Order: sequence, then C-alpha cells, then structure tokens
Amino acid sequence: MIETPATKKSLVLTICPYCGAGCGLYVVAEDGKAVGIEYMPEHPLNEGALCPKGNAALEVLYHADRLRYPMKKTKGNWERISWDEAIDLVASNLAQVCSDYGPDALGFLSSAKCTNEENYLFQKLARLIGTNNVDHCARLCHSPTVAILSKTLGSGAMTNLIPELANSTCIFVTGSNFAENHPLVSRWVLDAKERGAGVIVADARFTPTAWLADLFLQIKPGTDVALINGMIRVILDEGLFKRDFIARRTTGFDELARSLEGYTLEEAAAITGVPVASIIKAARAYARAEAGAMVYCMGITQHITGSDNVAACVNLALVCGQIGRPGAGLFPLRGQNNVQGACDMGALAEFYPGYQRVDNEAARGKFEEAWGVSLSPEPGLTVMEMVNAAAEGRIKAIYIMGENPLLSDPNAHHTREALSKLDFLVVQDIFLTETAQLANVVLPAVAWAEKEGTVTSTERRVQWTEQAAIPLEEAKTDLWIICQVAKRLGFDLGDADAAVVLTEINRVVSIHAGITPERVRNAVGGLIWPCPSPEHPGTPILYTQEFGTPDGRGKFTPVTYRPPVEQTRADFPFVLITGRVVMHYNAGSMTRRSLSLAKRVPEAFIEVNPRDAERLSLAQDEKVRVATERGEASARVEVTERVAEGVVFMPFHFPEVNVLTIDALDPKAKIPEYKVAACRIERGDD
Amino acid sequence: MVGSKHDKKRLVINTEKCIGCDACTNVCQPGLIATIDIGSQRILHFPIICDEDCTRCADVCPEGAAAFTPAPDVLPTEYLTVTFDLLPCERCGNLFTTRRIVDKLLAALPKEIGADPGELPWLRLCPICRQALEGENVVSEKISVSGHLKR
Amino acid sequence: MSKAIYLDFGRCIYCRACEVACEREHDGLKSIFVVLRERFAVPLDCRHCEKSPCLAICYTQALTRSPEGAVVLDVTKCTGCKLCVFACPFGLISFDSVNKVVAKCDLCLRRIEEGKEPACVSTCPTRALYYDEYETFMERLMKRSALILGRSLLVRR
Repeated sequence: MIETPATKKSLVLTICPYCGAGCGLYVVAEDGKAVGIEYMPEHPLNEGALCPKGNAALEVLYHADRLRYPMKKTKGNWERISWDEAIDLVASNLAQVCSDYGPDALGFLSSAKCTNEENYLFQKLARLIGTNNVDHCARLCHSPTVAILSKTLGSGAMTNLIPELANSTCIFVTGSNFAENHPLVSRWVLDAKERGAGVIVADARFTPTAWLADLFLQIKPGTDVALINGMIRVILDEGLFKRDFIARRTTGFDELARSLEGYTLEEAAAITGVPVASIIKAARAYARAEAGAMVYCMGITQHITGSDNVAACVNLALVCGQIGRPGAGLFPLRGQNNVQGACDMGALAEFYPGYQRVDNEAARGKFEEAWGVSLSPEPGLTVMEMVNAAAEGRIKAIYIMGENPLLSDPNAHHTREALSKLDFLVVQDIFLTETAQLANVVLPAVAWAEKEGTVTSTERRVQWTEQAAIPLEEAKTDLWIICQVAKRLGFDLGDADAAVVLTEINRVVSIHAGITPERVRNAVGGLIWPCPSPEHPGTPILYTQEFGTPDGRGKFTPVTYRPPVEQTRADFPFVLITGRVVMHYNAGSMTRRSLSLAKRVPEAFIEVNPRDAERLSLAQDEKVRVATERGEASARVEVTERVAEGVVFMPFHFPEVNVLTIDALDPKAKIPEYKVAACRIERGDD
Repeated sequence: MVGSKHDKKRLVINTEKCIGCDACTNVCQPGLIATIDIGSQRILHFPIICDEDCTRCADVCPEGAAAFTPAPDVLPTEYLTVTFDLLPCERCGNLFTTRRIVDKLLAALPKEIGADPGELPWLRLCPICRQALEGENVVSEKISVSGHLKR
Repeated sequence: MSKAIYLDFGRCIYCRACEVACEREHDGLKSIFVVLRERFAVPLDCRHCEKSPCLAICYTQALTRSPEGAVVLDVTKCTGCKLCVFACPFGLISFDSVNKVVAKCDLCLRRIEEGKEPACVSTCPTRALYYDEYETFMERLMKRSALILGRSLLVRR
C-alpha cells in the first residue's frame, strides 16, 4: 500500500482478478472505497500495462447486481436471511446428507478465482468431512496438463517465466490465442520477434495471435497429435533430434521412434490439412532453434484426446531438447487468476495440496498427521463426474464456491437437470449467477479487491493481493464463510486470517515452504515455486538439471491420432469450435456486467467463413439459430476469414453457447471436448 | 436557469448563412429550437417569437445567421423551418452532415492549414470511414509514425 | 522537440485496452479508436497536428494549443456545432450527445503533469503506443529494421 500524503488516497497493490497472467495493478482507495486504478510499472510481468479487462476491473466491484446479504429460496422466491441462519442451513443440510447417505454423497466445487488460502481450507473441509469429491474448473481446461506433465516431467505447470519468451529464438504456439486471452504474453513474444525470433502458430482459426506468425498452420480441428507426430517424423528423419539430451535426460525414446515407424508426412498432411512443406518448415525451425519455446492452451487440452495432445507436446519438446534453459521450455497458459493455485492447493479430486495423490499411502499419512483425522483413500469425483452423479442421484448436495457450472460445463441442459435434482445446493458468489439461481441458499462473497491473500499465476508466481476496499454490505470473505461452515460442522479451521492459513500451507506443501507471509507480502512480483525454504529465492526455470520424475528423467509417451468423437454429418454439417474473446472472461458473470466490455461484445456471435455464408445466404449481423444434438442457441453472424470453410466458432461467455457443446470426456483427465462439436445453422425466419 | 418571461423579440434567421450545424439547438435551454434528420434531409425548426431573456442561439451561431429584432404586431408565421441536404459519405453512403457544412470546411480549411483544396478528399467521408482510411494508410506506409502532422 | 504519442502498429493485437483506459480517464468518452482488418489492427489517436484543422475551424476558442503543444478542448466554451468533428481528417473527434459538446484527446495532460504517460500508452499490453521524442522513436525503428533484415525468416502465409 502506498499512501499519497497530499490526499487521503492510497494505492493498494492487487493482482488482477481475471486471467492467469497475474498482472499487478494498484487500486486507488479512499475512505475504504475503491475509487480508481493506477498502473504498476514496477511489476516484472506487465510493467504497468493492463488489458481491457484489467482496465475495467472496478466496474464489477460496486455493480448493482452484487450480492449483499445471504438468501434462501422459499417457494421459488428469494428471501433475505441472517448469516447465522444461512450458516446453519448450509451446515445442517450438508450434515444431513452426510449422515443419510455418507460423505461421498456430497460434492464440493472450489474456485479458481479464490485465493490459495481459501482453496486450501475448502478442500480441507471436504476431506475432513470424509470425501474427496472436491474439484474445480481446472478439470475443464488444463487437467490434461496437470495429469500428463506431472507424469512425464514432474510438475503440471509452465516451465519458464513469460518475460523469458523474449529470449526464445523460435516460438511454436499451438492451440493458444494468447493475443486475446493472455494479452501480456504478446508483449514478450513481440520482443522476441524484434530480436529475430521466428513464430509458428498452429490453430484451426486465424486469430490475432496468428497475425504474429511467420508461419501459420491452419489445422483441422482436433488433429494436433497428427501434426506433432508429423513434426517429430521430420525431426527423426533429418537427424535433428538432440541425441545427447535424449540419452542423458529422458526415457522411452526408442518406443517413441518405433511408434512412428510407417507414419508418413503425407498421412499427417491428409489428416491435418497442413501441407507437407509447412510441417517440414515448422519442425526444422523449432528443432534447430537455439532456444525453442512451445506455448499451448485450450486448443490442445480441450479434446477427448487432450491428454494425448499434451503428451505429444512433451514428446516434441523432449526430442528437441527444448526445455530447462532460458527461452526454452513448455508454456501451458493457465486461464484464471488462481487456477494454478487452486490446483497447487489440492482442490482436486485425486490430489492433496502439493500434488500428492490421495491414494498414495505415504501422502495420506502425512496429511492425516497434519490434520489430525483419518482420510478417505479413494480419489473423488471430478467436475463432470459430479454433475453426472447428481443426475443419477448418487450425489445429493453440492457446495459451490465461486464457479458457474451451468455456464461453463458443456451440455448445459444436462447440467441444469442434474443440479435441479439435488436435495441441497449452496452457491457462494459475488453475483446471482445462472447457477446460483438454482440454489437453495446463496451466500454473498466479497470481490477480489475486498480481501487479501495469495494467488498463483500461470508462471507459478505466488503473489500477495492486498485488500483495498471494505466489503460491500454483508458480503464476507470466502475464507470467513468456509471457517464458519466448518465450525458449525464441528471442525476448527481457524479465524479466517489469510496469513495464518498461509503459514499452515508453508508447513504441509513443500513447494510453498519458503513462501511465508512476510516474504511474499514484501516481494514485488511475488515468489516463484518451488520455493522449498525461507532462504530460497524461488525457481524461475524448471528442470535445468533434472526432471521432477522419480528417476529424474523426462518420459516420452507414444501417442497415435484419434479423431474427435462427434463427426459432422448431413444434418449437422459444420464443425463448431467454442472459445474465448479478449473482451470477456469465461462464464461472463463479471464481464457481461462491465459496461466498457459488454458494450463492445454484447451478445453471442458465430464466425462463419465467407464462402459458407454465401452458400447459406447469411448476411453479416443476421440472427441465426445454431443447433447441435444437445440443444439450440441464437447468435449473430460474423462473416470472417478467421475460420476455414466448414468450421464455425462461438465464444462461450454467453449462456446459450454451452447448451451446444458435448460432454464427451478425455478418459485420463476427464476434460470435455469443448473444441469440436457438429452443428447446423438455420436462418431466423426458417 | 431560463430567463424570465420578457418582452417578446423576433428571431430572424438568415437562411443563406445558416449551415445547419445545430449549435443553436444545443444551447437553447428551454428547447425551443429543434434539429431533426429525416431521410436525406436535416430540418431546423425555429420559433419566430421568443420571450426568453437570452440571446444564446444568436451568440453561438458560427455564421452569425441568427439575430434578434423587436417583434412586430402582426406575425407572418409562428415558425420557420430551414431544410438542408445531408451529404452521403463517399465510401459507405451513410449521411453524415449537411452539404453546407462540408462546403464551408472546403472553403475555410485549405487556407488555414496550408493545403490545396484538392488535398482534402477526406472531407467527403464520414468520420468512421476517415478512421478506416487512415488505418489503411498507416499500414501501407510501413513507417509507423504518427506524431505531429506536418501539413 | 516535445513528446508525442507514436504508434508501432505491428504490435497492435486489437485488444482495445487503450480504448477502455481512455474511457476510464475521460468519463466514459474515448478519443482513441482501434481500426480492425482481417490481418491487423491500428490504434488511431489524435496527432495534435502542427497545422490543426480542428483548431483552425473553432470559432469560440474552445480549442486551444497548450504549452506542451497539445490541442486541448475547454468544454465550457464548446457549442457542440461539430465543425471540428468534420474538420478532423482522421475522424478522431466525437460528439457527446448527453452533454452536447465534443470530446477529443487531451494527451492526458493531467497524467503528464503527474509525471506519468498518457493512459493509452501506459496500458498498452504490447507497447504498440509510445510517448517519446520523435528522434528517440525513429532511432528505435531504425534499429529494428536492421534486425529484421538480418534474421532468417520463415515464409509468411
């Protein structure tokens, strides 16, 4: 906090509540109210810059729709209640379900937007009650990253810092539209270009990120394994693989090489739609680069082959030795301001805090001792599994903190049915979101500038965000609410002091051991985990000497191309890709309420290639009906060359869009195939 | 606030000078003057008699087209309407301002900024198309300099 | 020579942070406009022209030249005639239909007085906007052109 002596205003250091870049910004506070924003030039990642969402961050803080007091649903209407009654209702209902059906009939959905301390206590509460049914939306975006990177490299996280991209000599971007979704990444990629780096972008759409590309590979949706295997084919054929690195630091190379015998570039080109010459060019550029970076995101993960896609990325990086050095690494871009932290803190069905598996006896023993209880050894249900279990009556009550599954889960009709079947649903949020409207009890939480704690960005950067403003009316911190519910259920989780909770985290999570409240509060740019002791400076680059796997070596995982689950057919002739745009954020509950942002992108739209538009006689801005096997949505037509013929794109920030998507899951990571569905477009007057 | 009711005065509009800019409409606090764009025309609607205690409309007219005289006993009409052709943008066809305003700018600007009249083709474009054109010019020039415009 | 806002258009990614920041600094009215095409975007901001058409046509001295060289608007003198809106060659002056006056870039003089840069420049995620002296900016461009010629490029799509 910086006090300006001339006025009563102070500058409070907060971390932007939107994406996973983790930009720093000052909230100008006066008399307990947030009155403005100031840029923070000294922050190592954003250097004062802010994307449009960061600039508009205050527009949600005092929005008229902010939840101000607890409410319960009585005969279909909302009734204001006291905190006492609210906590009682929540605790008693959860306890009732627990005693009638057992703790595994409960589900806990944690928040990728709440702090590390809040996530830590939320998952602790669930596990103390006796269930591992605690999960959060990381399942829907980077669960393949967490699962595969942990297994093959040691840690499910980005290996280098974002500004280091400026030191890369070749940047291979696959399935990431960072220009829109992590704008600050563009800053450093552009710096790399200025120093002569080459940028390769592989995407089904010609996005603003592709504007930066020296080589653009327009792949058919869902064909990433085929492309990357093709690139590895080139690298093997031309002897561009790093023999020494492979011999010293990896296992499984021979199996990988064998698995690709007989795989031809012609086959790769036929599957992906990318010319053989381009595959060769891309492979050579990445393999020969002095420092090659690979940036990936939802285009890789959100498929039924998401785990295979990530494995393919790891294979490519390892085969070229492009990891563990400045400018050379793997950059999975995490989406939310604290999704990395929510994962680190174990808000996951199969992991305790620090990525120790719940079915690992040694890990479980450690937490049983730390928490003083015996813990369930069964991995719990993941997000989609919880929804399905609710639909089937196996889960009777769900406690949702800061998530909007009705908007963000695929196949929205199914989600609504499932949640409506529950005996009890409690939602803790800052707005009465679409999901909250289905709840029995709604608990008003504070917004990001009204609380303090640590959040972890996609760079593994743990930063303390300060409280700038007094909570609105009766809204309480998520930390306080969790502690109150826990207390009513008979568990002592402390006094909702974030610094105290962080100190407990220091004790039980070894990668956070040195990220103490005193250190992290005073570190501009926070501390980068692993930080295993109070003297440790943090770890910007992972795997410089060895990998985090048991044998210290990176693992190759042979993978073969499998097509997406839903193919186009006569009545659903288009491939529907869903994704994000710069002006909005995920389920849109914050950005659709921010005037500056919503007025620029006010409604759902569908990108249609000009040739397709002509064939169907669709005009720019016309309203059409888009339909899949699961439902219908109305959208405004955007005629653009961004998408190839036969492919369409819709942003999922609007309630209509996930009505259309399919809930087919990757078998390993349980992530839905958001990126491919079959749809048709009908004119409004048909 | 609005002036108290006063002696009536007559508002005289010189329809040759008026360019249809609507400054008078903006400043008339009791809202007695109206500017309406209908179809391809702009219509300014003036009261002939005004009993407000101000002369704002006459004061702000860029062309000095409005003046006040004492009100006669018998009035020819109660209202005066002045009609202007709106100019369509040469690029997108949207009507963006009156022909007279563009003519005035065409006459006044070249001298002021030291340009030849033919150097101002952008005058016949609406502001949105001017932005679009400039965007394309900046890119095609390949030098990214926008700073003090040397004109 | 005084500083001005310079544009490095190759770095613009159409995020429009500059527009949102400008609105926030100026009561919801922006004076920077990002033009979008299929393969690029260009942020357009007031050039505070040396020979300024808007300054020339204003008949009430609502538009004047500040000591820093910026063309600034005094709304109390503005009649909303919009002659300046149509005098601007780049269409960068807008009309505030609520208050019936115009709005234009003021070079964020308030921020500059506090030793900061204009909001659009400070906020741009990619440093596509610079606030600098002309010579410094041209130096930067020269250095980069040399680098670009020297690097081994992959073929453009």
